[in-house]
Amino acid sequence: MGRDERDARLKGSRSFCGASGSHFFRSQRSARLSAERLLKFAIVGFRAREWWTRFAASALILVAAVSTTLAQSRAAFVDLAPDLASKIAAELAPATPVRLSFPNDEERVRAEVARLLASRGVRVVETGDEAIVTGSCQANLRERVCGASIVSGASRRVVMITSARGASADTARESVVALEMWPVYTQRAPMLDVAVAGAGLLVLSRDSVSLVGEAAAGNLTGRVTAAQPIRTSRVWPRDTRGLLRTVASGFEAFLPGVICRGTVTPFALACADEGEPWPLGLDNGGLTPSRNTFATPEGLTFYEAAPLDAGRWLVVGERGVLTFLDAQRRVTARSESADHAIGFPDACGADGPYVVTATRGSPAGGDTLRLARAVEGRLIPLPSAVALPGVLTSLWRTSGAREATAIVHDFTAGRYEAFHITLSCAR
Amino acid sequence: MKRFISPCLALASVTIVCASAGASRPQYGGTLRVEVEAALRTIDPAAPSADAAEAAIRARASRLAFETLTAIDLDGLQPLLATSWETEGRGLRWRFHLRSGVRLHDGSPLEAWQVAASLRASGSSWKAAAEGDTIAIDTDTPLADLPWVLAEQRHAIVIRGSGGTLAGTGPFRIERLEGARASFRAHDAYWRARPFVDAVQIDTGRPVASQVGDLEAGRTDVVGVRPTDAPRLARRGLRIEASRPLELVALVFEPHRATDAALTWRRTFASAFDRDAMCAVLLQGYGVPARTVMPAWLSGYAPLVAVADRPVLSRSAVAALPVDDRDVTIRVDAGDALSQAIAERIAADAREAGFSVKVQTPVGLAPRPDARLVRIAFVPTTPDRAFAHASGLLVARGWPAIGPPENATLTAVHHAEQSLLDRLVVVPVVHVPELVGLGDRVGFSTVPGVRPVGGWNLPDVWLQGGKP
Repeated sequence: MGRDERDARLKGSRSFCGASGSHFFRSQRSARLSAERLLKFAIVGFRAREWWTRFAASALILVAAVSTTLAQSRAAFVDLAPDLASKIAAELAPATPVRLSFPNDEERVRAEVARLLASRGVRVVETGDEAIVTGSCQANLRERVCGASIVSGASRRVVMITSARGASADTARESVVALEMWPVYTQRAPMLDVAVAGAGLLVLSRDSVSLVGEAAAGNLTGRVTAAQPIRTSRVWPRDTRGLLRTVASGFEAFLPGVICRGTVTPFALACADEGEPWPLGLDNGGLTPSRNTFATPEGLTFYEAAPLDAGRWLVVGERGVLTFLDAQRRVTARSESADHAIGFPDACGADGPYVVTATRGSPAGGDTLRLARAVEGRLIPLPSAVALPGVLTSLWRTSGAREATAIVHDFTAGRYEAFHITLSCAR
Repeated sequence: MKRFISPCLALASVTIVCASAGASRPQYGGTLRVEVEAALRTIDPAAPSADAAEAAIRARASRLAFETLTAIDLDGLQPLLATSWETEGRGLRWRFHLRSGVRLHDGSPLEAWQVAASLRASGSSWKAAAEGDTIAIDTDTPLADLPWVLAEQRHAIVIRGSGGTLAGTGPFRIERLEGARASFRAHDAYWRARPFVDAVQIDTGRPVASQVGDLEAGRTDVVGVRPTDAPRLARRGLRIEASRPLELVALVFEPHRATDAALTWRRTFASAFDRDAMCAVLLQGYGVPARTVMPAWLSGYAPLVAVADRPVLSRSAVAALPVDDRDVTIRVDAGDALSQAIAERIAADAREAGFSVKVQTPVGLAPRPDARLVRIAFVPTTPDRAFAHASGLLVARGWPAIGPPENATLTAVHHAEQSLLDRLVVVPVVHVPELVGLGDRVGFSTVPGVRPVGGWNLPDVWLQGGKP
């Protein structure tokens, strides 16, 4: 930790030459927060038992930790948005279209100001020669400041809102959100999903559901105490996908065109060839076996669905295009592409919703999980990322829990590893 | 031979490991040697001073021994000897609650009446009185920013004894001030924990160039550094620590070039130099291109200040100017090497654009210049006070009064700065931080030796080779 702090500090002290003095401020803060991350992830690493896995997990997480710098949005200024929007609106003629811009790291303030201006009848447009409103939020030693310059024709006006620094500013301090990930199970045979069931762990593979004893206690290679075959006449697709879910009566396993229901005590399993909807949260007709995709009732094809807030969704659509849907499942925006996406709509209080996406790294390397915040049909990347030890084959959010399960195929080591993923929130 | 070498290597390895392991843990003891350029005639923070450099170094040195009721750091106003405060009557009456358990350098507890007496002696018009463990301050006019005012070192709590002795509550006590050397000893009962070093010795009146040489030669531990010295120190593996940008280097046009008729000319000349390159190359990254008077971290509104669009500068545009307008003389203080270097860089850029620029460093009479390159130091405080202080410095050098009075709203301060910049009489060039060079003996600490808001942080500096 000392060396990281030192490096960060040295880096910070040499980061003066920039567009503004605030650059230096961010560098110093980043250094402090990077160091905080290290502590957090050091704790995470000890959840595993085997030394090599522990070491690997720590190494993985260190990658995330070192890269975790604070470029996150300035949530601390969002509370000033209503007054700022009022002042801006007061300077504009009714129904005046405005172009609104804020620095990239103040996207949340911009979104809030845009929303409030719209509610006051001000039309916010992306292009055009209308009134140009350029906003900015910073702090001086006494107060937090949000202001905007409003340029309309030859006239330029500046409005400002201030709020004293102090306790209220401290509580409004932006949260630091980071990916937290720890290994739960590993085996040489392919696996599709895992789910904790009491003291054991259910492991879903193409041809069976196994019960692993003591795995829930952190034993990564716990002994398989029981296994039940998946009996079906179906031929699985080459890239079979499967989902395990625990329910009050036991568990359910979803496979392409097959649903299995079972109990842990006694360990039993019954499967049927049924094309039922999968429990993704987003309405669907079940997995299409020949395509490995889902479809909404409206016919929108998708691979994975990540819940956002207010009933909205982000889905991994055809060719991996990330597609935003509103509460009525209408496409509202499209973003970059990714192989996987999961959502954390209610993690870290009101700062979300957060989304974790996975993209392929180099052909020889592993995939990378990246954290982003979904804002107004865009993903704002956050600097927390985790390099996986192999290719991500499955990523499901655990129903009802604030965590997700990732299955990674480590080609080099010749094994499949299951990880649990959560978001850590700190202020 | 092999059998001999192997144990030696093993022993050496163990020694290295032990040494490096020990080096990461702060050690107590030793005398920290500091060199400064200005003279230091007294350490009394309330003593008047006509010399700005002496006043600055005295404020810095006296902070070692004397503390204020409040303090300013990056998070704003903080408690120091006072733990909390409140006002009645909208700033006409203030009450400051004193911290308990604070001991003076002689070991006796700090009493409220001593604090009140010290505040009365600091030359202010307010009336300070002790009320139990509280200090009540009454003012004739509302002072909404009194807690900020009390953070200034001139209002530090000083107990004046017979024979001119001075005692305080700071981390070091004054041992002696003789000739060009001020000596301090660690205050063992300091309420925020004893400093690492046993003593601090400040040698005054050392030119900056000599300081850097002494640091390289191991004759001192802490010196002031110019950005242009950074590569030299980096080659020696010595550390540099920086505050936030605390000083503005600005081009200020003389009255005959400050007329409305000369506005276009000023705009053309102000566009003739590249701040970014100056910052990256000349200042080695220890500088921020300045387009506003106050640095962003002090104003909070810097992005909202409108900066005139740079005209497209071509040699033909400059060639179209009358010959007299193409000849420009910039005056720089003869003893200011940093300003000279910046002025030379401006001159080089302007020559590229077609101007004919001379940099003048007169020690006596000299022809009238067109502009001066001036350095304006900021006080880390509220925006209105910082701006008032900066404009006061400009006024003291003969430029017309600018800026709103203290206690103005932030909007008013922004308006004043915008008006100043719109006239293009004062053209910001770069903001520079305070830089401190640390010698080989200074151990690494996660707490910097220079405070982000300026000034030393010597209690957290430790010396390698001290007691473990």
